[in-house]
Amino acid sequence: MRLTRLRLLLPAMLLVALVGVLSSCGDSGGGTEGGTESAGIPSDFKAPTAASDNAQQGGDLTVLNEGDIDYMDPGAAYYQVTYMVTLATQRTLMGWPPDATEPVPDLAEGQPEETDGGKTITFTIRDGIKFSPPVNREVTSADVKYAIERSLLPGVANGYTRAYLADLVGFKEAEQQLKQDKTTAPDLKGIETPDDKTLVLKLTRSSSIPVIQALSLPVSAPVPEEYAKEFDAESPSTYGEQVVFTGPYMVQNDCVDSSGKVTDQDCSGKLTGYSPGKEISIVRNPNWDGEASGDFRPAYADTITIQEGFSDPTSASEKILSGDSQLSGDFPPSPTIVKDIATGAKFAKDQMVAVPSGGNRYVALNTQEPPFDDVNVRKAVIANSDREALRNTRGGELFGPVATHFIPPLIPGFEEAGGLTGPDLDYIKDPNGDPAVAKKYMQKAGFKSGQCEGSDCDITMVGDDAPPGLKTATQFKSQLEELGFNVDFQPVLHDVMYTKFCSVPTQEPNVCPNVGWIKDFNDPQSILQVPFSGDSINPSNNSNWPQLDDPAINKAIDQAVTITDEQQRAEEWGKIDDMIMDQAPAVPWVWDNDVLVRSENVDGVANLFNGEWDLAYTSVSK
Amino acid sequence: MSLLEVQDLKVHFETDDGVVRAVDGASFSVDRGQTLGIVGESGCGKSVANMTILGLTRSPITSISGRILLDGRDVLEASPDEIQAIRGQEIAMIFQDPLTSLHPFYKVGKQLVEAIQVHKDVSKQAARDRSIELLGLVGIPDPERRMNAYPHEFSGGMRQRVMIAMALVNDPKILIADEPTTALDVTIQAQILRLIQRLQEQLGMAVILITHDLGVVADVADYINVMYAGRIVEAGTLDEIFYDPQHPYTWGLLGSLARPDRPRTLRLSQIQGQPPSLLAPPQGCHFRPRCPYEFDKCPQTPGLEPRSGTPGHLDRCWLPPDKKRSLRVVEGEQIGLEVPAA
Amino acid sequence: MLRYIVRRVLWGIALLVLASAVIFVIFYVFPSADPAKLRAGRQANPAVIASIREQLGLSDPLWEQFLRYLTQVFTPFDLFGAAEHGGTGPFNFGRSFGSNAPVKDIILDRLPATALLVAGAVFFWLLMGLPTGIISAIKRRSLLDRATMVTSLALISAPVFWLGLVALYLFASDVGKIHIFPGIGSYLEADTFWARCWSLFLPWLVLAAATAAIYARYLRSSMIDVMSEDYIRTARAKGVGEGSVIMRHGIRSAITPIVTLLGLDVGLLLAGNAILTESVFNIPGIGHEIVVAINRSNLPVIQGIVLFGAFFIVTFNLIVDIAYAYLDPRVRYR
Repeated sequence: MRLTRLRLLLPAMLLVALVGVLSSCGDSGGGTEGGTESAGIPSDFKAPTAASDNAQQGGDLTVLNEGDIDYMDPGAAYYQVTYMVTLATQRTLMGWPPDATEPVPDLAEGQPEETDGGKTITFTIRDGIKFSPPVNREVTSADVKYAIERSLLPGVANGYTRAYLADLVGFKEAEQQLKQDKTTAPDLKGIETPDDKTLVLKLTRSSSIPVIQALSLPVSAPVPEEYAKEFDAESPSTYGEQVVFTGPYMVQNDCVDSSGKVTDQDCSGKLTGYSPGKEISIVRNPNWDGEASGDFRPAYADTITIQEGFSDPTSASEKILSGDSQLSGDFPPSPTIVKDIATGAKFAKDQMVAVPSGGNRYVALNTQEPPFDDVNVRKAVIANSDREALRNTRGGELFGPVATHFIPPLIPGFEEAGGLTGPDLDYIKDPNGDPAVAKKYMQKAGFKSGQCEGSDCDITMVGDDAPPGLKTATQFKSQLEELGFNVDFQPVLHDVMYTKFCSVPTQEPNVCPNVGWIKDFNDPQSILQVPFSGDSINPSNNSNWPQLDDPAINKAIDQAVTITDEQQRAEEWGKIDDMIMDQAPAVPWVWDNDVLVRSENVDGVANLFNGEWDLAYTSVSK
Repeated sequence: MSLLEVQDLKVHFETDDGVVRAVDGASFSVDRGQTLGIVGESGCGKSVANMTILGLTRSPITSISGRILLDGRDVLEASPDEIQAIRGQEIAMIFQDPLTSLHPFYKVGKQLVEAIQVHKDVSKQAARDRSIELLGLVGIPDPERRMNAYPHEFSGGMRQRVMIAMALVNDPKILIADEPTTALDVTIQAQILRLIQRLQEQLGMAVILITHDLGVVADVADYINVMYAGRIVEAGTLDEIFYDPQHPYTWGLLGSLARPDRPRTLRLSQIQGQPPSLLAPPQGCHFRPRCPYEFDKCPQTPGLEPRSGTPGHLDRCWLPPDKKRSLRVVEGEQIGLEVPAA
Repeated sequence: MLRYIVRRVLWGIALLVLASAVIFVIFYVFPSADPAKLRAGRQANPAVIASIREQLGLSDPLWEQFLRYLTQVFTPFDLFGAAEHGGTGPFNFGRSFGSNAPVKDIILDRLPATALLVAGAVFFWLLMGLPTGIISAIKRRSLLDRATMVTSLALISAPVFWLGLVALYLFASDVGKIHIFPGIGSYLEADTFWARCWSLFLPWLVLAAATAAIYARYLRSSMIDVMSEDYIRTARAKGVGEGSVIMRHGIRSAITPIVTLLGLDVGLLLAGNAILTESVFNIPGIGHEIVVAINRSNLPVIQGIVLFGAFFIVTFNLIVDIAYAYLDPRVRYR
């Protein structure tokens, strides 16, 4: 998934010099245990991923957001900002407790059974999980089948189903059905429901690992067909206004009051608690019985209100930090605030935490057009880049370690690809850039002076028109100019940058500085496949921005998808990451951290999966 | 003692460019039942002098000296409340352009009623009745319905009648009419002037008629004062001014009158030159720069004195009277109407 | 009068159609994000994007999309594929590209906040601006007059968002130096009408500040002009006391251009002109909404808000003209 830090209106003025010690140097930190140390986060700001021992029930939390979630419909949800809501209100087949680095059974009773060399996956659905009012009944395997099938409708348009579940038997037939009838969910033969509690997935090849990981996404949240059918028949589907929930919380609808008590037996299920762009009112789900249904979520708070529209991160952060019972949602604190907290000038240090987002940011170089069609020129550009300066445009050390390859910390394959120090390549060694190495590669490319010469040196760049992206782009522009390039930089709206320029191969400029990718789930396939496989290049919505099309890499990726042994998988993908770095298609500059703030009286727990506060674990301390 | 006596009135304005001596020593008076015409060019101070009677020129930049005696009381010493009581009640004033002088947003009846209720504690109905009575008196047809009309719904002449009605609602002792006909057609002019005359006869008030046009006062004035550059330069009865004018300026004014009993000339004669700047008027007689008969005595300010022999006929010219009579020829025409065989 | 109103209403509708057309053109001519791609996610293949685009009605020719939109807004008929793509009208403004919520609901949801913000601001700017303007005119060149003119110049020049942030940092109960007024986002937390009013107190003052200054200056010069009119002299000559001269004669005339100004200002503010104030204080109003919509290339919402805005401006223009005829009898006979 591509990164979506929604832009902020007021400029980030200062670069931050943080007091925190960079504890990442020389840290070996094996796999994924005690995660955040190996991600280079100073211990002062390490996010708690478990509730404190004396966390209490009760209280009302308020989350401040700059923007809105993308969709209330779990079948349509795409961006991580939405997961803050879905993780607390929906139970998916596999789920994510806050400290998990691998998916944990949620709707499923225990880990699924894999047979037939990884081509058949069998889930057992737990007992006692009920839909919220007005549906009220127990969840069955058919509800999960319907959820996945409806996600293929153009009126729902899930961004992940086709990417990860296309190996299901009968997928092509399902797409054919859709061509005839666009408002009825097709029948996916590869999903079988022999009884109410059993779900069997049949694949055409052994891609069980990514499939199981994909089933931890909101798309596997159960949807009752008899209730949702009429909404899905609209175009686009209006189920988003009528969603039912299975988690400890629900978004308020016309059936319940603010304490989650049922008040209207004749209700329609229309959501009353969601005002797009304004507010989301989350209350307790009266039909949730955590104990009886084996839910790992404690669900301390009584109500959670997400308030949207805070366009100034400084004043919003101040409000949270000096107030009560509040949390930050989709925006990081501004550099002024970060500085105030880090230097101890204002507010307690533990009111600010950082969590790895599971994403990377890089500058994509268009490998299909000169001058970046020459791998030596690309290596020179990477060697010359001051990647630390680029990282600092986001606010400093707290915002993530300087990247040396693409798989981010905590994802399998990270260490295998070289960990924090990265692969043994001379052009990636120095985070501040090495002009001598750059010169060497420019000369290898035929530029005797070490500087670019000729008409190919007039290059185009399209980036964000607002900070912090704007700052990063401008910084990179000046670094390119050191190598003799003439950069024509066009800043545009973030969405326009993608949909009209960088993601359209025929319109793509030479440089796209503000791109990056966030994992879809904790498997390296979701980080490397779409952005770097030649097979995923598509003519109108391309996310392989360098347009890298190396046959060896493509083949390796295709094969690595179906590895079922975890250790082997991590090694293979680590190798692929290094193969990609060998081709120098982009300049990786940070593995992003999400920086969060909270009010003093909030016992905040952060979820490692989506890098935000976990609303089902956070509590108000008395 | 006259009803109104203005004695040596000086009204000076302090401006950024200096002191403007708008009225520089004017004296005149009027009695009940009399009509006084004050005649002079624009800027001679006639309006300022008369507005000062009502206290309308009082401001931080004005300095006023002299005396204005109304029934013996010096109006210049009056307090704001006293002045307010005089305005519209003892002395009323009407102005040149009735369209801009009436409030465009209020009905005429309302403005009339206001004029009454500001001074008298009477009911609205009583005030309305009185207003209707006045409208009828000034010759407005269907006065009761016209009370609800707006000023712009009247013709020019009717509007001026309304203004007159408004001025008279409280039976003032003096009506000051500042250029009441200048903005009106010639035919309407005559109507208005006759109306004023008739009202004066009916109500017995004093009238001061201010104008630049001698022809206007020829019919209606009992006395005429000619004003020039802030001073009265000649004062006398209607006959005295027309038959035996003493001041060269008056000759000029008379000479420039169109006269139906004479053959039409190709153009009306004019007085050469411009009125002086009131910032720095000439030393002595203000008319000196334009006077063809200036001589060595003129730099001394002439007083307003009866030099012609008739006691009430005053002028400010050093020329000996017989000299004046022989000089008053303008372009071959004898100025001054034929004196009827005495 | 009736014919006049009918004529103006027809003109107004024509203007609304024109405004829609302009927005359509702008959206498609200038680079804006492709909603089908945004909806489809980062990894979608062209076939999926195409089917989403078709569903949203975006694969039809522009003129057809435009006419369909007009049909859905103004008529109940099913023309140009209205029923298939979003349903028939009238007053169907389509669905937001972002959240699928009906645009009409979004706008009606946002309108009360803006309306309350505007109403309070109007009250304060009239309260602050009118007496100041009148007194400045009457006591011209006095210390009070000069102080007022300098202050008003400062307020007019100060950017609204700066003023808002300064106000918050001085007076907000959570982050301010002196804890008096509710801070950012307090409107969202308020659940009674009076709590909402209280939460809008700082925004009212901030929004009113610059406008009050403008009105003060305007009224001052209008009063100075009026007080030198002949009918003022007549009123004084009649014996009307100076106080009544000012109140009944002076202000009555001087206020009419202010009424025109007020009507236009209110129309504009309701159309979304309070963007900066709404953003700084996080008030969920029309202005805030359109900024977000523009940033996300959310055409239906942009279209809807522009139409509503045009409607308000046209309506208030009409109201102002009628009010003017009521206030100034001279213009009544057209």
